[in-house]
Amino acid sequence: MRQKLLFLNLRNGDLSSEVVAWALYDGTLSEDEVQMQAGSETEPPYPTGIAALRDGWRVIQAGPVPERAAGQPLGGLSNEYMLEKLVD
Amino acid sequence: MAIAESDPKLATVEKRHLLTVEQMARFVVDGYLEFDDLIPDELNERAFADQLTAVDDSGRKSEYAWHITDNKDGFFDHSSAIREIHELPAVRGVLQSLLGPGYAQNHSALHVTYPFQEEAQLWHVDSGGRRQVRLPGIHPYSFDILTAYFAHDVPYEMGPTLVLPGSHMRSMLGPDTGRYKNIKGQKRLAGRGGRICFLHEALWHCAQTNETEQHRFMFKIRYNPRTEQRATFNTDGWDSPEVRRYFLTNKDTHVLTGESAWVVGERARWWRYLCGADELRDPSGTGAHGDYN
Repeated sequence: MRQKLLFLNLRNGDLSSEVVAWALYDGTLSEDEVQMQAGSETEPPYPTGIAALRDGWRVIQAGPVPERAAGQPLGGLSNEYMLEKLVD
Repeated sequence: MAIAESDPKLATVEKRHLLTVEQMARFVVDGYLEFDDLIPDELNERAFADQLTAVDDSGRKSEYAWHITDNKDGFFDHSSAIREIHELPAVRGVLQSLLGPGYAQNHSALHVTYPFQEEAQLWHVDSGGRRQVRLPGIHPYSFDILTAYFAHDVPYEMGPTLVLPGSHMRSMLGPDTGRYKNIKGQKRLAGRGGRICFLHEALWHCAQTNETEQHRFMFKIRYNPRTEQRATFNTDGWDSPEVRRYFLTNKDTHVLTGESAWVVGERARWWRYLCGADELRDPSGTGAHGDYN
């Protein structure tokens, strides 16, 4: 059993909102094959998080709701979902 | 000398070489500026010829590999064309506009991606990161500038530097954001030979794959300010209706995950600071007066 991991960052916390950042880490690729590289794609694999669920991806972690406080700088992208597919 | 100070005699340039408020406002929103017409072709050709001598079949020659203590400016010292380019009044005008007079060169490096290189860099922020995470005592609006100079044509498939416009408003360190590979709005700095780009130090960026059989060269310098970065550019019209409209029109530009309210307030405060504006005109300190947000 090998794992594919898909990171999706969404426009907001709603899984039906638009994907704004993504990465695929594919455990089925051999050492000689190239994983997804920065800048390699202009369109996400799915338009929304829900579309990924419909295609069989399972959410295994959702980022916490960001904690905001006065004077704090804006950090990284806020709405992260980690999804997996298991492949024989 | 480890840190090459700009020649103070040359540090003041004519006003016509300084950035306008329209250009500076674009820098505030995007986090970078790019120019195709600052550098004469003859200098680009000389710089490219020098860059070709910096590599051989085994890769970049060791004398041009950057080292934090032993080789901070190896290629800069080697190439008179590179030095002349960065002393052009048109280039110094942009640097002085962003950094203030007397800015200093911290280090430089010749970056190379090799023919058919399949691996890109991770998305990253160069050392220092977002201004809020700088050392205590450094002004929160202080920022360094990274230049990215391309002597030769760099089409999309050759892998010009990738940047994420607007990411300079986020607080990240090093490769914190390397988990992600592709981000909406990412932009390759593709263009003709002679392109020079000026990046805010906190802008997310990375080198790209190279699908061509040619080396891709990018020459980078990191510059530090030596003065308060206020009213260092041509501030004529800083509070004009056109500038206000520009910020209003770009309220949501590059704000990927919904923090527009934070970003526009921070942009407004930074803009007033950059322009040397009377801070009493914004007594709440929030920037939320409808001026620019």
